[in-house]
Amino acid sequence: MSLTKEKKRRGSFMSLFFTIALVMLVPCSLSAWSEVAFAFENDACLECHGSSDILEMSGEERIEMVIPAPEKEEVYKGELTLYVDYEKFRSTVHRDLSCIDCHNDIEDIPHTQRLGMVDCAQCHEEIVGQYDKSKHATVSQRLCFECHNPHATTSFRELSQQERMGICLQCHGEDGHRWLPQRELHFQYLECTVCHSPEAAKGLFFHLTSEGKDGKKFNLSYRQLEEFTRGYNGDVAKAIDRDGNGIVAVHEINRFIAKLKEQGVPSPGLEEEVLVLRPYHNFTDEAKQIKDCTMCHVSGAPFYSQVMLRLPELSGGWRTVKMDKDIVGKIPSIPSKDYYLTTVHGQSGVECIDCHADLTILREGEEFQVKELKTPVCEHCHADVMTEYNDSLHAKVSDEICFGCHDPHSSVPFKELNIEQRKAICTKCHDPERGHDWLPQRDLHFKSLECTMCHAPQAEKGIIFFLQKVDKGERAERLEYRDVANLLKMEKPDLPKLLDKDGNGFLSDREVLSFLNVLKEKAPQQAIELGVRVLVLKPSHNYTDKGTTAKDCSLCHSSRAEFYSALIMEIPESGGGIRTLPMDKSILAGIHTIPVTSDFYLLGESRISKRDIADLMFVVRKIGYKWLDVIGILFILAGLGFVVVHGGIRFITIGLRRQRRKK
Amino acid sequence: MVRRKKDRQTREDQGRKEILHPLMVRLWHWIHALAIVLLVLTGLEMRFPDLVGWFGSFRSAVNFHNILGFLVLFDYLLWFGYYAVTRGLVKQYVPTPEDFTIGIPTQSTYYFARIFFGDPAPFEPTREAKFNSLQKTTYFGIMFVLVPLQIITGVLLWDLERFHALIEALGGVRVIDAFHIILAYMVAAFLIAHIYLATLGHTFFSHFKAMIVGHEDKEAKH
Repeated sequence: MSLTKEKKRRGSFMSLFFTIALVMLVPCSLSAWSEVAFAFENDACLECHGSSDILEMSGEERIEMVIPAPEKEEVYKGELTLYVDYEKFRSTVHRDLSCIDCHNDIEDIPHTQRLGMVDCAQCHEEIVGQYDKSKHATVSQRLCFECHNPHATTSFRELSQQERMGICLQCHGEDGHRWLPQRELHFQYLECTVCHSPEAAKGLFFHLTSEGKDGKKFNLSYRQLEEFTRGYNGDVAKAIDRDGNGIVAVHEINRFIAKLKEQGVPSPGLEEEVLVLRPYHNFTDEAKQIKDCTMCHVSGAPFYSQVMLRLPELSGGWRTVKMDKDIVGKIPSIPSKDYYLTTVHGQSGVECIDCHADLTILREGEEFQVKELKTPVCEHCHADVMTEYNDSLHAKVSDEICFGCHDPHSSVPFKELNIEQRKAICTKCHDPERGHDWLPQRDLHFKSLECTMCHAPQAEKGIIFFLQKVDKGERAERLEYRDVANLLKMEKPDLPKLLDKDGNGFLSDREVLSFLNVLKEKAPQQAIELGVRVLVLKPSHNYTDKGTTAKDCSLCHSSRAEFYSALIMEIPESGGGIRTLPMDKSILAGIHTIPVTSDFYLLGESRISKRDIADLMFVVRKIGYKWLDVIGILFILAGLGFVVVHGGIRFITIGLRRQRRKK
Repeated sequence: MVRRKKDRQTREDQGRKEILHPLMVRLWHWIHALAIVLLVLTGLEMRFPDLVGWFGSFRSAVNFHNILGFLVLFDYLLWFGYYAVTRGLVKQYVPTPEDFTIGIPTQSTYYFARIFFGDPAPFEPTREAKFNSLQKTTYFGIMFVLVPLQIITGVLLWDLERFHALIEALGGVRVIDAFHIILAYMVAAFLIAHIYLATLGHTFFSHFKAMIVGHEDKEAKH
C-alpha cells in the first residue's frame, strides 16, 4: 500500500514535472516549428511558383496541386501571379518580405485554390488611400498589381523617366496629346504624372550627359564616369561634391564637367528633367487641370523647390544628390509667362505672335488653339544687335543664340539692370574665377565693373554719378527720392530743377557742387557725397575673349578712357524711377572738392604707360624721314627764339643803357 | 700790294678808319650771302614743291639750286684761297685753348647779360683778329665743317649717277639727303642768328656798314 501510495505519489510528481516541462516546451517547440515552417514556406512556395513550368501546366494539372475551392469557380491567372522569378524578386524593393507577409491567408501547403486579395494597404496605406479616390479605382477599377508587379518592382526613386512612363504606357497610348505644343520635348523631359498627378511632389533633376556622334545627348553611365572617381572609392557623388557637404555647388559641377571635357568626353553637360519625387496615386485627366500650362511655366513652379543631381551607380541604379538651387539660374530656364507683362517685352506690347512669328495653328476646339512653336526670331526687332552678334566670337565658337543668355520672357531693360544682374548674364556660362589671375585688384574690378566693361570694347561706356550716404563703417548707401526729400526737409522737391538751376538740361560742376552744399548744410550730421560708377550705357554684342584688347588696362586707366566721354547724373524720381541728366566734364577736374577722389585715383590719368610709349614709337616710325623737317623747323624756331628773346631784352633795356651813357 | 700798304698807312694815320674787311672778303661775303639765301629759298621750293613756287617749276628750282651750289663751291674756294694766301686761315678761324677757357665765357657773359647794361664789348675786332672767341668757334664750325659738308653732299646729289659708287659707300641717297637737309636747316637757322647778331655792333647798322664799306665808324657812337 505504502509502496503503491509511494508509486502513486512519485507518478503524480513525474506527471506534474512532465506537464510543466511540456507546458514550457510547447511554446519553444511551437516557435521552432513556425521558424522551420517560415523558411520552409518560401522554399515550399517556390517549389511550384519558382519555376516557369507552372505556366505551361493545364488547368486540371494546376487544380491537382491545390485544395479546390468548390464554392468558387475555377480561375486561370496569368504569369503575374503564378510564376515568380526569384532572382528578380531578390533585387526588388520587396526582397526582404516573405511570400506569406503579403499572401497572409495561406495557412498550409497545399493552399486553397483561390487566395484572397493581397492588401497592399498593410504597408502602403497612404498610397491606397489616395488611389481609392482616383478614377483608376472608382471608374476603371484597376488593381495595384496591374500597374506594379510586386514581384519585380524596384524602388520608385531608381526608375528612370522612361521606365516611369512605361508603367502608364502599359495601358495608355500617347494619342491623346495632339493638343500639346512641343509634344516631343514634353515627352522627352517629363514623366506622365508631372501633369497627370498635380498633387505629387516634383523636383528638377539634372543628369550628366554627353553627346553621341549623331548629335544626340545621352546620360553618362557609371562605367563612363568610373575613371573620374579614382581617389573617391568609386563614388561619383564624392568626386563631384568635393567639400563633402552633401550639396553639389555650381562651381563643383562646373569643375567636374570641365574635367570630363579635358579627358575627352564629347560635349559633356547637364540635361534637366522634371521628375516626380513622391508619387501621388490620384491621377487625373481633367482637361482644366492638365492642360494648364502655368502649372509648370511659371517662375514659382513647384519643382524649382527641389533641385537634384541624378548620378549613375555601379549597380545600374541611380543615386540622387542635392544640388545648389543657383544652378537653375545657370541653365536656360523653362519658359514662364507669369511675369511676362512686367518685362521689357511685355511692357512694350510685344505679343507672343510677334516673336513666334511662324506660329501656326495646329488644332482648334477643346476650348483652345494648339500652335506649333518654332525658334523665335529676335532679329525682327533687334536686327542691328543680331548683325553685330553674328560677327562675334560667341556666334562663331558657341552655338548659343540669344536665349542662351537672355530669357525673352523675363527680360528687364538693360538700363535697369544693376552690375550684379548684368554679370549674372555672363556667369551663367562663364566662371569669372577662371582666367582672371593676371588681373591686378581682381576683387575690386569684379565688385565695381560689369564683364562687358572690358569684354565689349565697342560698347558705349560712361560714368554715372548719384547721391549717396556714407555711414561710419564706410558703407555707402544710394539715396532714394524720399531720402533726399527728407534731407532737404521738403515735401515734394523737384530734384532735376533744384540741380539744374539754369534749366539748360545740362549740369555744370558748379550746379552739382552747390546742390551738394545745400544738402550738407541742411543735414550737417550726414556724410552726403557723390557716388560714382563706370557703366556700360549701350551694350555691344561683339564680345572679346582674353585677347590683347581685354587685357589692355589703358582702355580704362588713361585720360583717353572711353567712359570720360559720357558723364551722367542719375536723379531719383518720386515714382521710384530715375531721371538722367548729362554732366559737365569739369566735375572730374574739380573733383577734389567732392570726396570721390579716391575712386578716380586708379584712373592714373597723367601717368605715361607702356601703351603711350608704343603709340609714340608708332608716330615716330610713321613720321619717318619727315623727322628731318621737324628737327629743321626746331632749329629755325630756336634761331628765331633766340632773336626774339635777345632782341626783346635789348629793347626793354634801351632806357637802362641810355641812362648809363648819360652818366 | 702797294695800294693796300698805302691804305693801311692812311688808316693807321687816321686811327679810326681801319679797314676791317678787305674788298676781296667783302666781295666773297656778299656773293656767298646772296647765294646762300637763294639756295635756302630754292631748297625750300625743292623740299616743299606743293607749298612754294617762287622759282617756277620744280625743275627750274633744281637747276637754279645747282648753279647756286656751284657758285658757293667756287666762292668757298675763293675764300679758302684768299685766306690761304694771306695766311689768315689759322689765325682768324682756328680757336685756341684760351678761346675756350677765357674767350667764350667772357664773350657769353657779354652777349647774354652785360650787353643789356651797355657795358663795352670785351673784344674789339682788328684786321688781324676779326673774330671774338665765340665767333671764331662758330665760324670754324661753319666754314670748316658745315659748308664743306654741305658742298660735298650737294655735289653728290647734283649727279647721282656719276657719284653712284661713292653715294652707295656712304649709305645711300637717303643718308646723303638727310645730311644735306639737316645742314640746310642749320644754315637757315644760323642765317637768322647771324643777321641778328650783326645788329649788336656799336650802332644797329655799324656791322652791316663795315661789311659794305670795309670799316666801322667808331667815333660815331662814343
